[in-house]
Amino acid sequence: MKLITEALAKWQLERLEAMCQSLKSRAKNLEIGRKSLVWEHVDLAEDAIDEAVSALRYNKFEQASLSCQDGFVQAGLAELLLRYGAKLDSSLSKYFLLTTDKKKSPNEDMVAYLADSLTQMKLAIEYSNCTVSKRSQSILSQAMDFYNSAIDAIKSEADDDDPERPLHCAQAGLLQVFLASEFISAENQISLPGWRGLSNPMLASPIRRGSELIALLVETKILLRQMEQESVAPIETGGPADKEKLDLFELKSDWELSYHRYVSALNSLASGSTAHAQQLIKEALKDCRAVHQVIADSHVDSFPDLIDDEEAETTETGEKTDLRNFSPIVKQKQKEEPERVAVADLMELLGEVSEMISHVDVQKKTSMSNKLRVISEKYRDAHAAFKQRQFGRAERLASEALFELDVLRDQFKKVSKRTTGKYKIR
Amino acid sequence: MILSHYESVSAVSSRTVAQRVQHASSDYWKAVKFYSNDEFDKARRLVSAGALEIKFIKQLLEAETTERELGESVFFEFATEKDQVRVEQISSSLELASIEILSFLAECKKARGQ
Repeated sequence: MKLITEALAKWQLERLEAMCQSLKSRAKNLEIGRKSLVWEHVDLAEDAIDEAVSALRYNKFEQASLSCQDGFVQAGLAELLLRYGAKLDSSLSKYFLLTTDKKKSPNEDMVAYLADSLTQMKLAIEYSNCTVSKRSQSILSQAMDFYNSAIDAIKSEADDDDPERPLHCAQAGLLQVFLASEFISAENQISLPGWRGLSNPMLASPIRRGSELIALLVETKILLRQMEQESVAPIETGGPADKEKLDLFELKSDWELSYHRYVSALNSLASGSTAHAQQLIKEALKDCRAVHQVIADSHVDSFPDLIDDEEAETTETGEKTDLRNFSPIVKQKQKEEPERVAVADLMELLGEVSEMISHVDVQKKTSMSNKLRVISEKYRDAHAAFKQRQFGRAERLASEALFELDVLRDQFKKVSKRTTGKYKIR
Repeated sequence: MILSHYESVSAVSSRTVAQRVQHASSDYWKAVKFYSNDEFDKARRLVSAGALEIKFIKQLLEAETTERELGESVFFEFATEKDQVRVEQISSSLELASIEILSFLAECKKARGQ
């Protein structure tokens, strides 16, 4: 028996060496990419040969035979690439995109559709040479993150519990691509060239009215911006205009809150909580409709004039016009650090944080995003109480918001330490 | 082969493409490893994801080739921020939000005292 094992191991070793030699000589004329891949397989096969030789030296014939078998796998793959390389691309794709029951997998179809949409969007932006705002850029980054999550879900065995996870991640990504396209088109006042939009079935499920919310969010945001841009009158603190300023500030805050809810809904959808996502979309729609209604009911001229944070830097006086007169520390800080001027509006600042946090892994992302929403709500209510001169209530709500913020900061510190290098921007 | 196509334009491609190629390549070798260890289901999953990645890379490469032919050399990237920069931004934004709420709280206390 030992003689047979020894003979078999030696015969396998000879065959493997001959295969490697043959592969090397035939790979010389291949194009560069395929050649390097074939060579890498041959290198691995040669590593297996070295292991087999060492094993034979110590009369470990079974070990040598196993090493040779590993080598045959590598050499076999190299042979496959050498013979059928160019044809493999399409045939493998077709083969692996089919499920075992020979039907197309909706998971992979949807992920491929998201990839298509991302490419189309990239092309449309490049063809039109349009300006992509920080928010739109961030939304597209999130869409890419959802694509990565979908790919990870396809690869991961753990997702057998939730077989539709790639589908849901891809749907969340598609909604973000759609939102970005609407924002970019509205901000640049153009139709994106070549961008065909998304087909209805992709938008309709599984969160109904997602597309309706997106359209409303964009329309309301553009109306709010128009109101800001059309305003030119100077701001006097302490006068009746202050109340109107606060009204506009609250409208912006409410819009940010609706947006937070929308982002939370996408995160819930991607993590499999479709019912929770649906609920958040419903709430966001209600809030956003209320903001839209207030704007529709009011004449634009009746709102106070307001200068955009970024534009404020370039006013003649050089003074930044702040919405509130109760933030001396922030004003001082902004004077010292001009790059922070653009984030004076706390709701907008929290919105940006929510977007940036969405690049952290899904569970933490949802938890932190929810916390940000709570902080926003408490701060907004505190603000409303202050306006109504209910200073005690305002103080209590602000204290609660501050406590939640401290908890969030601690949580983020822990996450960023634990996952150094895990902030995936792929 | 996608690698052959990529090698010839790697110096002028976007970071998005470079990163995707890197990930697809890494997945391929992981799949080979699983295949060698007779873990066929794991290998199949990786190849399935790889096939999608390759399709995406191909589309991105084609889009960028068209752009280059039109004389464009700076491509739109889906994400530009570095990892560490993003962490720092979040930390500083949270700190700023904290200062903002603190100052509001001080105003509330002051107003209540009056």
